[in-house]
Amino acid sequence: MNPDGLIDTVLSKAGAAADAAEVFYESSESRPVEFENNKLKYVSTKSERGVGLRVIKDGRIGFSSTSDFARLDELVENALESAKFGQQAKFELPASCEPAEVETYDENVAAFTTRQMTELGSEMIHQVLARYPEVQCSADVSASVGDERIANTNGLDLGHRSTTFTISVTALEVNDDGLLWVGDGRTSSLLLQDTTKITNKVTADLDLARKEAVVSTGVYPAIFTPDAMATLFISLSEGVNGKLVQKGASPLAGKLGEQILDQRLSVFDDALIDYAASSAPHDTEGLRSARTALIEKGVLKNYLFDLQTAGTMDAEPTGNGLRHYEAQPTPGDNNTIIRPGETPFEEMLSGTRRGLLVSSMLGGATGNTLAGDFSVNLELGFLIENGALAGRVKNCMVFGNIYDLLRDGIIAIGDTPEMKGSLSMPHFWFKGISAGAQ
Amino acid sequence: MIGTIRSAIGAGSADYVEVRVQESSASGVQYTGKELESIGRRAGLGGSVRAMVKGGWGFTSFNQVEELPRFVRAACDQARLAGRGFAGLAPVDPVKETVAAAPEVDPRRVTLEQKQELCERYNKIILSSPKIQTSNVVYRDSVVREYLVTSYGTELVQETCFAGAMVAAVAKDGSNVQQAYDSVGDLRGYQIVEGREEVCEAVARRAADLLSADPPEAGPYTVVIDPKLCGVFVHEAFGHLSAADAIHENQRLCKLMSIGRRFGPDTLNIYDHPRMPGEAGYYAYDAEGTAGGKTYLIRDGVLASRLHSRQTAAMMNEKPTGNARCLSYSFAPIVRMSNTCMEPREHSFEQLLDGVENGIYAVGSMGGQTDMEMFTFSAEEGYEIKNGKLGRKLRDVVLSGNVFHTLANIEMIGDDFRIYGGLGGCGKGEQAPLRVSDGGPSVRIKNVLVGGR
Repeated sequence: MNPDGLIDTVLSKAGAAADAAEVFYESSESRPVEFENNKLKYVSTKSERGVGLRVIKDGRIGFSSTSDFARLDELVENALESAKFGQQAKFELPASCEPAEVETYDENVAAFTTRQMTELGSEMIHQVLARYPEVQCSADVSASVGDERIANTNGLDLGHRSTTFTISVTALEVNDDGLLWVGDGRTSSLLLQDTTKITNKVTADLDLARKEAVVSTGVYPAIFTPDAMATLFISLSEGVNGKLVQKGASPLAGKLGEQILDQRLSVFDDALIDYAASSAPHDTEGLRSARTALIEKGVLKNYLFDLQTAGTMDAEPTGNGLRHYEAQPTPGDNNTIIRPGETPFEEMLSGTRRGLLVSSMLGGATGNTLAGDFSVNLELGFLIENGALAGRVKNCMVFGNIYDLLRDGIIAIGDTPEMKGSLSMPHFWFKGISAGAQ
Repeated sequence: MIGTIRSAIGAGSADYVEVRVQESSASGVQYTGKELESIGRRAGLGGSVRAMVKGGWGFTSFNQVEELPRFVRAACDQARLAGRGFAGLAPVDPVKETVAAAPEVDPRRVTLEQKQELCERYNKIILSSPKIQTSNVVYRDSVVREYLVTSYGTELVQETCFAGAMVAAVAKDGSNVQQAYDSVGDLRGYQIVEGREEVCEAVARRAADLLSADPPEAGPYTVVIDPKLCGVFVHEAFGHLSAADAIHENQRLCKLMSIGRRFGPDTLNIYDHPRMPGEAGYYAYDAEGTAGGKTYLIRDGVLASRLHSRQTAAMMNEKPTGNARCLSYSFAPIVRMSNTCMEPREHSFEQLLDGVENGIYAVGSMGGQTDMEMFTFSAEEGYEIKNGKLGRKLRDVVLSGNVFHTLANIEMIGDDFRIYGGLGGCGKGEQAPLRVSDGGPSVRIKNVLVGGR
């Protein structure tokens, strides 16, 4: 059954039994190729689709989903059954939407052949092996095309197509004292064919990690790379999530308009950047996409909402209702943009007499992220001595609270943000990070 | 269905073809705070084809099961693109068998209303407790019928029926936010989620008590970990590195991980065992149709074996262990753990504490992560140990170790073995959460690095 027929069938059946109904249809074809241990191992095609049905009946929300299109009657029955118990709907399904103008589709991604993808993967591995013949590389290259349809009984009918292209490479170096993994990658709607930036990052990290250094327990000035900052920003993403705010679980609840962070810090949620990984003309409920200030000069400006959460809080929806077909919408991030500062990385490095460079961390998601607390192992970290990197630090933990650090701990923010996937992040230079060592 | 698949396999040609079709139905209830966030049932149907030519794999996954022959041909064509090496798969006997699910109380016989009432009751207990800001109560069940047909003649139908529930409490005092949770989930049946009112009370109390706890001072400690954290420790500290796909094509890693290498004391035994009936990680046959069995990873302190798929076993000239698993039809099987445990020994809990001058007792688990060498595992709460006695409560107890040193620092293994499943699971690559159980006794380990605040 084509999507049009399916959507019509489901909407008319559900619409007849409920006050309102909404169908969210998703299909995608993704073509990942995977290299393991320097060799091409898997060539895959994933063609998947499914449909979610949300109904409002007697004022209550019901939901079900299926990927078995022979059982659409059951889908409707399940959604209606669910509405007997569901939450009171605090919103109305939108009747129309003028989609924002943003590019999310690159025909070069759709047309890129599997053979071209395997060549790109080989190229990355050869570039790393040319410098480091002893390491073993894995690489992933994936091109996918996704289609979304949202239609509801109030008349909304939106379609949206996007491409996603991902490349990444990881090198594993093994010596008698252990293992070292370094990797890098990018995700975009655009075809990415310049692999040198990625492989240079990998070989640069391998260069830096050749020497080892030891630190003792103490407090050190520290530079966090964009990758390391991404792990810590999980807390802020939870903090501005409208759902966690509504439940009172977010430590940022009730603080709109307050100066909560350093005045040099500004953070935006932005769905309108052409070809960024999480850009879209509208969200998955049919609200026009936007650019929303979360933190401006350290002041908390907005939380992110879907329709139901905004309705419950009596707040304006922000167009951040995100979902896959199997679940109801929930507030989520689009692209997160951290405004860069003015300090080059080299200046941070040369300005550090004795400190740490934190490149990646282990265990970041297992602590009390909601409170902003982190206590992580340095997966890849370096000792800085007299303005230069003195060697890799292993078996060391760093810990603290991200809200405290971003309020009182910043020396400077980097001038060159890195856009990887849906996050644009500069380096951060902190006055003092606690480290624990053996 | 088996007949349809068998005839579709003939549509392509490769050294090996494997077809999986999964029919699933699931139901779930979630309360967050006062609101019933979601409730309902869903259905799924999908399949995948994996084909191998000269050691390279082609893989297709799809929902249009009626077009199976087309996907078989595509997988075979893609395998030819990848294949340029060694074609071996360790031999296993073809099986033709139907393995039925065996829940004591089948969750499909319980009405949605009963599931909702159960969650509402648990949620009310948590929300009515002192200092609790919000809650999370999740019930989930899923029944999956999987058909597996391979070009080697295996024709399997395996049904699993999973049910579980997670209850969490968030306590808040100003910007101090603390959480506690409990999770059960396995293949035993719906009865395991019932009668957990006291657990809900305990979870709410734990979260509230954490508000006034302090983080530890960072540094190396002698730690005693409880059985739940021991399970996570075994899983993170050793389980992931014992998966043969991590090492089979890396000569240096093979040397580091050679059978017979000593990792821990003589008293240390670690095993993985899929055929533990009812456990979250249970299966009779893995995703390639290999029978699951008990595999000792560490026996008497030395490396005894590792976890294999048919391909890694062939490449390392070892026996397949039945550990190829996939999260769902969307993914190709990779080497995974199932139920992974440390065997108990004779020491009582008091003996573990005895003689510890300044240590930490770490209880419960917030999860863990490993890069195969270094690992972290987070406790839900902790207590000081001063001169062999438990002292004040601690929060944010995150422990960190190194697989080549930390297992050797195990000083004493307790007698109080327990095994835990739950709604969460194991992650590897994109495939998470895969249902697993982790188990062990209380254990005393010296010189474990603990983070602070």
